[in-house]
Amino acid sequence: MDDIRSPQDETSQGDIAHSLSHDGPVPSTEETSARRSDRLATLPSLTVLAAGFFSAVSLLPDGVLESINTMGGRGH
Amino acid sequence: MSALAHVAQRLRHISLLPEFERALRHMATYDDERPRKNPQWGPVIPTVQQLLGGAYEPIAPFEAAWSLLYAVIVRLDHLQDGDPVDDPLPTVDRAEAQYNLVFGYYVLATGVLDLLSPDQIAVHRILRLRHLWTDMLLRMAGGQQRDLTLRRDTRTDLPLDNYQELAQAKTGATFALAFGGTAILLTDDQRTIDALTLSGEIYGTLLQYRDDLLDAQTQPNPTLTLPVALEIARPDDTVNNTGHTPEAFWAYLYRVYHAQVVQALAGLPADLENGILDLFAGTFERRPVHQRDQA
Repeated sequence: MDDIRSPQDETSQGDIAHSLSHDGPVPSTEETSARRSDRLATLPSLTVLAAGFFSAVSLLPDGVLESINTMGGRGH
Repeated sequence: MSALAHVAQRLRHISLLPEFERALRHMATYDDERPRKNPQWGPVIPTVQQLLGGAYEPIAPFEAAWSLLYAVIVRLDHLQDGDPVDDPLPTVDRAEAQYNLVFGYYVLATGVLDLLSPDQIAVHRILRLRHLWTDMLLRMAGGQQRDLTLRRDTRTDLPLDNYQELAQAKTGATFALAFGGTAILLTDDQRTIDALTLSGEIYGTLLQYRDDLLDAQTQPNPTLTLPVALEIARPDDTVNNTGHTPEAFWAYLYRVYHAQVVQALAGLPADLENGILDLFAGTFERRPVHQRDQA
Protein backbone atom coordinates (compact mmCIF):
# COMPACT_ATOMS: atom_id res chain seq x y z
CA MET A 1 0.00 0.00 0.00
CA ASP A 2 1.27 3.45 -0.88
CA ASP A 3 2.20 5.76 1.94
CA ILE A 4 -0.07 8.72 1.36
CA ARG A 5 1.38 10.89 4.13
CA SER A 6 3.21 13.98 2.97
CA PRO A 7 6.64 14.85 4.36
CA GLN A 8 4.86 17.62 6.28
CA ASP A 9 2.58 15.03 7.96
CA GLU A 10 5.57 12.95 8.89
CA THR A 11 7.34 15.87 10.51
CA SER A 12 4.35 16.91 12.58
CA GLN A 13 3.66 13.30 13.64
CA GLY A 14 7.28 12.96 14.67
CA ASP A 15 7.18 16.15 16.68
CA ILE A 16 4.07 15.05 18.51
CA ALA A 17 5.55 11.65 19.28
CA HIS A 18 8.65 13.33 20.62
CA SER A 19 6.80 15.83 22.76
CA LEU A 20 4.65 13.11 24.29
CA SER A 21 7.46 10.65 24.86
CA HIS A 22 8.29 9.62 28.38
CA ASP A 23 11.73 9.59 29.94
CA GLY A 24 12.46 6.47 31.93
CA PRO A 25 10.41 3.33 32.57
CA VAL A 26 6.65 3.61 33.03
CA PRO A 27 5.35 1.34 35.83
CA SER A 28 2.89 -1.27 34.63
CA THR A 29 -0.75 -0.54 35.36
CA GLU A 30 -0.92 -3.70 37.46
CA GLU A 31 2.07 -2.59 39.51
CA THR A 32 0.55 0.83 40.16
CA SER A 33 -2.80 -0.77 41.07
CA ALA A 34 -1.10 -2.96 43.67
CA ARG A 35 0.72 -0.02 45.23
CA ARG A 36 -2.44 2.09 45.22
CA SER A 37 -4.41 -0.65 46.90
CA ASP A 38 -1.82 -0.85 49.70
CA ARG A 39 -1.81 2.90 50.26
CA LEU A 40 -5.57 3.32 50.27
CA ALA A 41 -5.87 0.67 52.96
CA THR A 42 -3.87 2.82 55.37
CA LEU A 43 -6.53 5.33 56.42
CA PRO A 44 -6.98 5.63 60.18
CA SER A 45 -9.41 3.04 61.51
CA LEU A 46 -12.82 4.34 62.63
CA THR A 47 -13.01 1.61 65.25
CA VAL A 48 -9.79 2.83 66.84
CA LEU A 49 -10.68 6.51 66.49
CA ALA A 50 -14.13 6.07 68.02
CA ALA A 51 -12.66 4.17 70.97
CA GLY A 52 -10.18 6.98 71.59
CA PHE A 53 -12.76 9.73 71.18
CA PHE A 54 -15.38 8.29 73.50
CA SER A 55 -12.86 7.28 76.14
CA ALA A 56 -11.49 10.81 76.16
CA VAL A 57 -14.91 12.48 76.14
CA SER A 58 -16.14 10.38 79.07
CA LEU A 59 -13.19 11.57 81.17
CA LEU A 60 -13.52 15.26 80.41
CA PRO A 61 -14.29 17.66 83.27
CA ASP A 62 -17.53 19.64 83.11
CA GLY A 63 -17.38 22.54 80.70
CA VAL A 64 -14.65 21.16 78.49
CA LEU A 65 -17.05 19.07 76.43
CA GLU A 66 -19.20 22.12 75.86
CA SER A 67 -16.30 23.97 74.32
CA ILE A 68 -15.46 20.95 72.15
CA ASN A 69 -19.04 20.74 70.96
CA THR A 70 -18.95 24.33 69.79
CA MET A 71 -16.06 23.40 67.47
CA GLY A 72 -18.41 21.34 65.37
CA GLY A 73 -19.19 22.03 61.75
CA ARG A 74 -15.96 23.81 61.05
CA GLY A 75 -13.61 20.86 61.15
CA HIS A 76 -10.89 22.31 63.34
CA MET B 1 -16.33 22.50 26.38
CA SER B 2 -19.20 21.40 28.63
CA ALA B 3 -20.13 17.80 29.45
CA LEU B 4 -23.13 18.26 27.19
CA ALA B 5 -20.91 19.24 24.26
CA HIS B 6 -18.76 16.16 24.85
CA VAL B 7 -21.89 14.02 24.89
CA ALA B 8 -23.02 15.51 21.59
CA GLN B 9 -19.62 14.84 20.07
CA ARG B 10 -19.50 11.26 21.32
CA LEU B 11 -23.02 10.45 20.13
CA ARG B 12 -22.31 11.69 16.63
CA HIS B 13 -22.33 9.03 13.91
CA ILE B 14 -23.52 6.14 16.11
CA SER B 15 -26.99 5.88 14.60
CA LEU B 16 -28.69 5.22 17.92
CA LEU B 17 -32.39 4.53 18.02
CA PRO B 18 -33.88 8.05 18.16
CA GLU B 19 -35.87 7.65 21.37
CA PHE B 20 -32.81 6.27 23.19
CA GLU B 21 -30.58 9.09 21.98
CA ARG B 22 -33.22 11.64 22.98
CA ALA B 23 -33.37 10.13 26.46
CA LEU B 24 -29.58 10.24 26.88
CA ARG B 25 -29.40 13.85 25.69
CA HIS B 26 -32.29 14.77 28.00
CA MET B 27 -30.44 13.35 31.02
CA ALA B 28 -27.12 14.93 30.02
CA THR B 29 -28.79 18.32 29.63
CA TYR B 30 -30.12 18.16 33.18
CA ASP B 31 -26.86 16.78 34.57
CA ASP B 32 -24.76 19.44 32.87
CA GLU B 33 -25.89 21.78 35.66
CA ARG B 34 -24.97 19.48 38.53
CA PRO B 35 -21.32 20.59 38.96
CA ARG B 36 -22.38 24.22 39.36
CA LYS B 37 -24.93 23.21 41.98
CA ASN B 38 -22.44 21.14 43.99
CA PRO B 39 -19.50 23.20 45.25
CA GLN B 40 -18.15 20.12 47.05
CA TRP B 41 -17.24 18.27 43.87
CA GLY B 42 -17.79 20.65 40.95
CA PRO B 43 -14.41 22.41 41.14
CA VAL B 44 -12.28 19.41 42.13
CA ILE B 45 -10.80 18.41 38.74
CA PRO B 46 -10.16 21.98 37.45
CA THR B 47 -8.53 22.86 40.78
CA VAL B 48 -6.17 19.87 40.70
CA GLN B 49 -5.44 20.59 37.02
CA GLN B 50 -4.52 24.21 37.77
CA LEU B 51 -2.32 23.18 40.69
CA LEU B 52 -0.43 20.73 38.49
CA GLY B 53 0.05 23.42 35.87
CA GLY B 54 -1.29 21.49 32.89
CA ALA B 55 -3.65 22.77 30.21
CA TYR B 56 -7.36 22.22 30.76
CA GLU B 57 -8.60 21.44 27.25
CA PRO B 58 -6.73 18.12 26.82
CA ILE B 59 -8.21 16.72 30.04
CA ALA B 60 -11.69 18.22 29.57
CA PRO B 61 -13.14 14.88 28.34
CA PHE B 62 -12.05 13.30 31.63
CA GLU B 63 -13.82 15.98 33.65
CA ALA B 64 -16.94 15.53 31.50
CA ALA B 65 -16.82 11.73 31.88
CA TRP B 66 -16.33 11.95 35.65
CA SER B 67 -19.21 14.46 36.02
CA LEU B 68 -21.47 12.17 34.03
CA LEU B 69 -20.33 9.23 36.12
CA TYR B 70 -21.25 11.14 39.26
CA ALA B 71 -24.69 11.80 37.76
CA VAL B 72 -25.03 8.09 36.95
CA ILE B 73 -24.29 7.23 40.59
CA VAL B 74 -26.83 9.77 41.85
CA ARG B 75 -29.49 8.45 39.47
CA LEU B 76 -28.72 4.84 40.34
CA ASP B 77 -28.89 5.67 44.05
CA HIS B 78 -32.31 7.29 43.62
CA LEU B 79 -33.56 4.35 41.61
CA GLN B 80 -32.35 1.76 44.10
CA ASP B 81 -33.58 3.65 47.16
CA GLY B 82 -36.88 4.73 45.63
CA ASP B 83 -36.13 8.37 46.49
CA PRO B 84 -38.27 11.12 45.02
CA VAL B 85 -36.46 12.96 42.22
CA ASP B 86 -36.96 16.27 40.46
CA ASP B 87 -35.53 14.88 37.24
CA PRO B 88 -37.43 11.65 36.50
CA LEU B 89 -35.81 9.24 34.07
CA PRO B 90 -37.18 9.88 30.59
CA THR B 91 -38.68 6.46 30.03
CA VAL B 92 -41.67 4.39 31.09
CA ASP B 93 -42.28 3.76 34.78
CA ARG B 94 -40.90 0.23 34.80
CA ALA B 95 -37.80 -0.76 36.75
CA GLU B 96 -36.26 -2.84 33.96
CA ALA B 97 -36.50 0.02 31.44
CA GLN B 98 -35.15 2.53 33.96
CA TYR B 99 -32.18 0.34 34.94
CA ASN B 100 -31.39 -0.23 31.28
CA LEU B 101 -31.42 3.50 30.59
CA VAL B 102 -29.08 4.16 33.52
CA PHE B 103 -26.83 1.37 32.23
CA GLY B 104 -26.74 3.04 28.81
CA TYR B 105 -25.97 6.34 30.47
CA TYR B 106 -23.05 4.77 32.31
CA VAL B 107 -21.70 3.40 29.02
CA LEU B 108 -21.98 6.90 27.57
CA ALA B 109 -20.06 8.37 30.53
CA THR B 110 -17.26 5.88 30.01
CA GLY B 111 -17.41 6.47 26.24
CA VAL B 112 -16.66 10.17 26.69
CA LEU B 113 -13.16 9.09 27.77
CA ASP B 114 -12.65 8.05 24.13
CA LEU B 115 -12.42 11.78 23.36
CA LEU B 116 -9.08 12.04 25.19
CA SER B 117 -6.72 12.72 22.32
CA PRO B 118 -3.38 10.87 21.94
CA ASP B 119 -2.27 13.95 20.03
CA GLN B 120 -2.47 15.92 23.26
CA ILE B 121 -1.88 13.36 26.01
CA ALA B 122 0.67 10.55 25.87
CA VAL B 123 -0.99 7.21 25.18
CA HIS B 124 0.47 5.51 28.26
CA ARG B 125 -1.22 8.12 30.44
CA ILE B 126 -4.59 7.53 28.80
CA LEU B 127 -4.18 3.77 29.30
CA ARG B 128 -3.28 4.26 32.95
CA LEU B 129 -6.34 6.45 33.41
CA ARG B 130 -8.58 3.77 31.89
CA HIS B 131 -7.09 1.25 34.30
CA LEU B 132 -7.69 3.54 37.30
CA TRP B 133 -11.23 4.24 36.03
CA THR B 134 -12.09 0.54 35.97
CA ASP B 135 -10.42 -0.15 39.33
CA MET B 136 -12.32 2.65 41.06
CA LEU B 137 -15.62 1.83 39.33
CA LEU B 138 -15.40 -1.74 40.57
CA ARG B 139 -14.70 -0.47 44.09
CA MET B 140 -17.74 1.86 43.87
CA ALA B 141 -19.95 -0.96 42.68
CA GLY B 142 -18.71 -3.10 45.57
CA GLY B 143 -19.45 -0.33 48.06
CA GLN B 144 -22.93 0.14 46.69
CA GLN B 145 -23.52 -3.61 46.79
CA ARG B 146 -22.61 -3.67 50.48
CA ASP B 147 -24.78 -0.62 51.11
CA LEU B 148 -27.74 -2.35 49.49
CA THR B 149 -27.28 -5.62 51.34
CA LEU B 150 -25.95 -4.54 54.77
CA ARG B 151 -28.84 -2.73 56.41
CA ARG B 152 -29.03 -1.01 59.77
CA ASP B 153 -30.31 -4.12 61.51
CA THR B 154 -27.43 -6.25 60.25
CA ARG B 155 -25.09 -7.29 63.04
CA THR B 156 -21.39 -7.58 62.27
CA ASP B 157 -18.35 -8.01 64.49
CA LEU B 158 -16.79 -4.72 63.45
CA PRO B 159 -19.59 -2.37 62.35
CA LEU B 160 -17.41 0.72 62.22
CA ASP B 161 -14.78 -1.01 60.08
CA ASN B 162 -17.57 -2.31 57.87
CA TYR B 163 -18.95 1.17 57.52
CA GLN B 164 -15.51 2.66 56.85
CA GLU B 165 -14.86 0.13 54.08
CA LEU B 166 -18.23 1.01 52.59
CA ALA B 167 -17.61 4.77 52.76
CA GLN B 168 -14.16 4.43 51.20
CA ALA B 169 -15.43 2.12 48.45
CA LYS B 170 -18.42 4.28 47.55
CA THR B 171 -17.31 7.86 47.93
CA GLY B 172 -13.58 7.55 48.61
CA ALA B 173 -13.04 5.74 45.31
CA THR B 174 -15.10 8.34 43.41
CA PHE B 175 -12.78 11.14 44.48
CA ALA B 176 -9.61 9.03 44.32
CA LEU B 177 -10.54 8.76 40.64
CA ALA B 178 -11.07 12.53 40.27
CA PHE B 179 -7.82 13.56 41.99
CA GLY B 180 -5.69 10.62 40.84
CA GLY B 181 -7.05 10.58 37.29
CA THR B 182 -6.23 14.25 36.79
CA ALA B 183 -2.71 13.63 38.09
CA ILE B 184 -2.22 10.61 35.81
CA LEU B 185 -3.14 12.66 32.75
CA LEU B 186 -0.85 15.57 33.65
CA THR B 187 2.27 14.00 35.12
CA ASP B 188 4.37 10.85 35.14
CA ASP B 189 5.67 11.55 38.64
CA GLN B 190 4.44 8.56 40.60
CA ARG B 191 4.95 10.24 43.96
CA THR B 192 2.56 13.04 42.94
CA ILE B 193 0.01 10.60 41.51
CA ASP B 194 0.06 8.47 44.68
CA ALA B 195 -0.26 11.47 47.00
CA LEU B 196 -3.16 12.97 45.05
CA THR B 197 -4.98 9.66 44.71
CA LEU B 198 -4.77 9.15 48.48
CA SER B 199 -5.86 12.75 49.10
CA GLY B 200 -8.89 12.16 46.87
CA GLU B 201 -9.75 8.97 48.73
CA ILE B 202 -9.66 10.90 52.01
CA TYR B 203 -11.65 13.82 50.55
CA GLY B 204 -14.45 11.51 49.40
CA THR B 205 -14.45 9.49 52.61
CA LEU B 206 -14.72 12.68 54.66
CA LEU B 207 -17.64 13.86 52.53
CA GLN B 208 -19.44 10.63 53.37
CA TYR B 209 -18.62 10.86 57.09
CA ARG B 210 -19.73 14.48 57.28
CA ASP B 211 -22.99 13.94 55.42
CA ASP B 212 -23.80 10.96 57.60
CA LEU B 213 -22.94 12.71 60.88
CA LEU B 214 -24.28 16.19 60.27
CA ASP B 215 -27.25 15.41 58.05
CA ALA B 216 -28.44 12.29 59.87
CA GLN B 217 -32.03 13.54 60.10
CA THR B 218 -32.25 14.03 56.36
CA GLN B 219 -31.04 10.55 55.43
CA PRO B 220 -34.21 9.11 53.94
CA ASN B 221 -33.36 5.43 53.64
CA PRO B 222 -32.35 2.68 56.04
CA THR B 223 -28.80 2.48 54.78
CA LEU B 224 -25.85 1.94 57.10
CA THR B 225 -24.77 5.46 58.11
CA LEU B 226 -22.01 6.42 60.51
CA PRO B 227 -24.36 7.23 63.44
CA VAL B 228 -26.03 3.85 62.94
CA ALA B 229 -22.67 2.08 62.86
CA LEU B 230 -21.73 3.92 66.07
CA GLU B 231 -24.90 2.76 67.81
CA ILE B 232 -24.25 -0.82 66.76
CA ALA B 233 -20.60 -0.64 67.84
CA ARG B 234 -21.27 0.96 71.22
CA PRO B 235 -24.89 0.15 72.03
CA ASP B 236 -25.12 1.05 75.69
CA ASP B 237 -22.25 3.17 76.77
CA THR B 238 -20.57 6.41 75.94
CA VAL B 239 -22.23 7.29 72.65
CA ASN B 240 -25.46 8.36 74.25
CA ASN B 241 -24.18 9.27 77.69
CA THR B 242 -21.26 11.59 77.14
CA GLY B 243 -23.19 14.59 75.91
CA HIS B 244 -21.01 14.94 72.83
CA THR B 245 -22.50 16.24 69.61
CA PRO B 246 -22.08 14.74 66.14
CA GLU B 247 -20.28 17.97 65.27
CA ALA B 248 -17.63 17.31 67.92
CA PHE B 249 -17.06 13.77 66.69
CA TRP B 250 -16.90 15.05 63.11
CA ALA B 251 -14.34 17.71 64.09
CA TYR B 252 -12.22 15.03 65.74
CA LEU B 253 -12.35 12.74 62.68
CA TYR B 254 -11.57 15.62 60.34
CA ARG B 255 -8.54 16.61 62.37
CA VAL B 256 -7.10 13.09 62.25
CA TYR B 257 -7.75 12.57 58.52
CA HIS B 258 -6.51 16.06 57.69
CA ALA B 259 -3.20 15.15 59.34
CA GLN B 260 -3.08 12.13 57.03
CA VAL B 261 -3.44 14.41 53.99
CA VAL B 262 -0.68 16.71 55.25
CA GLN B 263 1.56 13.66 55.62
CA ALA B 264 0.71 12.38 52.12
CA LEU B 265 1.49 15.73 50.51
CA ALA B 266 4.73 16.40 52.41
CA GLY B 267 7.62 16.91 50.04
CA LEU B 268 5.54 17.93 47.03
CA PRO B 269 5.88 21.47 45.64
CA ALA B 270 4.56 24.00 48.14
CA ASP B 271 1.98 25.43 45.72
CA LEU B 272 0.49 22.01 45.12
CA GLU B 273 0.50 21.09 48.81
CA ASN B 274 -1.08 24.37 49.88
CA GLY B 275 -3.61 24.28 47.07
CA ILE B 276 -4.88 20.82 48.00
CA LEU B 277 -5.07 21.79 51.68
CA ASP B 278 -7.03 24.91 50.66
CA LEU B 279 -9.44 22.69 48.75
CA PHE B 280 -10.02 20.65 51.92
CA ALA B 281 -10.40 23.79 54.01
CA GLY B 282 -12.87 25.33 51.55
CA THR B 283 -15.03 22.23 51.62
CA PHE B 284 -14.81 21.09 55.22
CA GLU B 285 -13.88 24.08 57.36
CA ARG B 286 -16.47 26.51 56.10
CA ARG B 287 -19.21 27.08 58.64
CA PRO B 288 -22.57 25.90 57.30
CA VAL B 289 -24.89 28.72 56.20
CA HIS B 290 -27.45 28.09 58.96
CA GLN B 291 -24.72 28.34 61.62
CA ARG B 292 -23.38 31.56 60.10
CA ASP B 293 -26.85 33.03 60.21
CA GLN B 294 -27.14 32.22 63.92
CA ALA B 295 -23.73 33.64 64.77
